[in-house]
Amino acid sequence: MENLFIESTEFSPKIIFYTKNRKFELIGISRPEDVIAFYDSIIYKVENYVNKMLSDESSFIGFKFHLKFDLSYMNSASSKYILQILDHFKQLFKQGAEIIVDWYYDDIDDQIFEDGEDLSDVIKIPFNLIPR
Amino acid sequence: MENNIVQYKGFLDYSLLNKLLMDFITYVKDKNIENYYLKKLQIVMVEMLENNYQYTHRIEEKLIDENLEPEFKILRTEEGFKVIASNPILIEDADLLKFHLENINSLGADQLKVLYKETLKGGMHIKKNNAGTGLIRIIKVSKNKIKYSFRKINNKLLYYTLETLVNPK
Repeated sequence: MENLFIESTEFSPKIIFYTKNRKFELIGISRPEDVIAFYDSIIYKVENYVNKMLSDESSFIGFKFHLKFDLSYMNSASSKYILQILDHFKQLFKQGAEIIVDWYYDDIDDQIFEDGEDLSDVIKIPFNLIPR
Repeated sequence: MENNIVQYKGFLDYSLLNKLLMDFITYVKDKNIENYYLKKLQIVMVEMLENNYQYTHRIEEKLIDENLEPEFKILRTEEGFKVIASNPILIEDADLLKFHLENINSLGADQLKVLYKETLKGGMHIKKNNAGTGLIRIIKVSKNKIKYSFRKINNKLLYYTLETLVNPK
């Protein structure tokens, strides 16, 4: 499957999706002007990847996928689309895959820390909350 | 005493929204404000501006004929920064908005967190943007209630104002 790389801009994050290495990264600031247009193509790729894995793999024991979220800012509109990405990976999680979510934050007072807690609670996948 | 730090009247586009934000951040950084306070201010300002921009953008054609413009300002007061956003809204949208604002203003921090997560979960698979998450986030982050008012313009439109205080608490 094809990889995906999107360079960051002043208002949108860098996206790295390496299917062979089983790695997805979202880094930077997330408040794109057209949040739907920005995230739609990414979600489409993730959905296709997950569906392909579900049809190709007979067992997910020992299957690991690593997600890294290193955001310095995220608006409320972006959180919905980050949840959709996580929701697709949750399909693999439910089949027994190990989904490692590393969520970076600056300090405990940081809203990004709380955003990580909230998203983890909503999607029901544990996050590693990691200080930068 | 109140000092006007940011004031803009007119239709916003995204580059203008970003310019207002950058101008304000530059102003605040010069005042040696702590990082966590700066982040609170940034979040509230972005959510207020985006709320104003997204809604007005949706009904902009109806507003141009009426010569009605949105307004945004930030005042520095002794208690903190007052962030105020005004824009025309359709009368038919007012009841739901008022209900939502009354509800979120009545909730404590823990209840607000629960509602925020429920709203995120409920809106996850809805195509359009989540209604209300921005307003909940404003209260969650500022830890202050949102003051609001509606002023009748004509039989179709109201002028809607949101105001919140962001302070270091």
